[in-house]
Amino acid sequence: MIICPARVGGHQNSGVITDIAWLASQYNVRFLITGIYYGNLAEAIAAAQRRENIFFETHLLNSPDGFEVMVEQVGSKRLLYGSSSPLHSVNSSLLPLINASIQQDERDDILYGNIQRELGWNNAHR
Amino acid sequence: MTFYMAISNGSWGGTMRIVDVHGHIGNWGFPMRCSTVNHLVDFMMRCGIERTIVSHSLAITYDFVEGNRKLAEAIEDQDGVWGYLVLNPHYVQRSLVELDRYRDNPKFIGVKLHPEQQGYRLMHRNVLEILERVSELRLPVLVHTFPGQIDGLCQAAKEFPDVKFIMGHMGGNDWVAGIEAAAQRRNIWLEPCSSFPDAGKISQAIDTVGVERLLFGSDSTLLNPAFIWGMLRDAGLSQDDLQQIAWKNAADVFHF
Repeated sequence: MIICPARVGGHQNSGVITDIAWLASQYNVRFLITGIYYGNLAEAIAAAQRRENIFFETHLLNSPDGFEVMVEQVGSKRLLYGSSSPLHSVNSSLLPLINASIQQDERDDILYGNIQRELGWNNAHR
Repeated sequence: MTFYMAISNGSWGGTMRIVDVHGHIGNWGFPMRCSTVNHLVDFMMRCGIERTIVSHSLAITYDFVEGNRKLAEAIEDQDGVWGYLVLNPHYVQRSLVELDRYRDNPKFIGVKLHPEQQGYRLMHRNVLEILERVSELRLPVLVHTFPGQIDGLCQAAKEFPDVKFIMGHMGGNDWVAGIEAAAQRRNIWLEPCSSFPDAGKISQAIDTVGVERLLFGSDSTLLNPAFIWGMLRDAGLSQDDLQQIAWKNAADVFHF
């Protein structure tokens, strides 16, 4: 298994996640999609609920309850924290996750647990 | 203690007083549960935001009269939530009636214009007619500026030098142009909320227009206030500068 980044941020990219979901149905590869935000969140949820090999990176997950909604709809195991640093402010992506009303183990999944599992890191790398 | 544990104790503003000058209540066409005034107030408490000035999404996206009415009803008994009256220049007379209807309502302390959603240019005789009345009432005006509208806002600010204009989104993707334009007009304040928290945005705004003309706005409940606060937090500001942006400037503009 490998993880494939796929940039979809921006206000004019409706349909890109759906296209990636089609690819995900054709290949036994895990797709890590970046740039989910309020404008494409419905499409992201729909795609992830159809394809279990779709994961999301969270640097633009900026709606007030974005983490709560995604954890509820997709689960914490398929969300990976990212910042887009140095292009973006690190705290813009970090503070919403820290303040989200989710369980601590779900937050830990997103912050490091999932990428640790996917890349085969062990605790010695922490 | 991990890095995130170290900064996760309490609200992200600490003991700082915070005014959010760009908020909303109401539904948007996106999957989110945070839409009512109670959701907003809960979020304000979690984040340590003392006051938020909001418009109703219905007033922006569909019926401004009904949206303003719903907002008045929703914020009537909410101590920390204040209102923008949304006006629609396609309906000049109705907009003027709205101004008269709410002029004595202490909860409405500003006007919101959204040229993108409602489809107009700021330098139009209808807008100028409305701004004439807004100027008489001495109400600050929050203007959505993404995409475009920067030049129109600057011209409107020149036409009405006594009106305090807030450049919502700071021009959006054109934030460099927005900052430079604001530097030319003393009656424009910058408000930086955006889906894209570009590093350097806050620092450049302060370097160009000064810390006294930058406000904190979040676009809550469309955006997460913490997402925007992160830009301020990463800008390397002194506590005094941060407090000026988070509270003092808004207190001056809105006479809190």
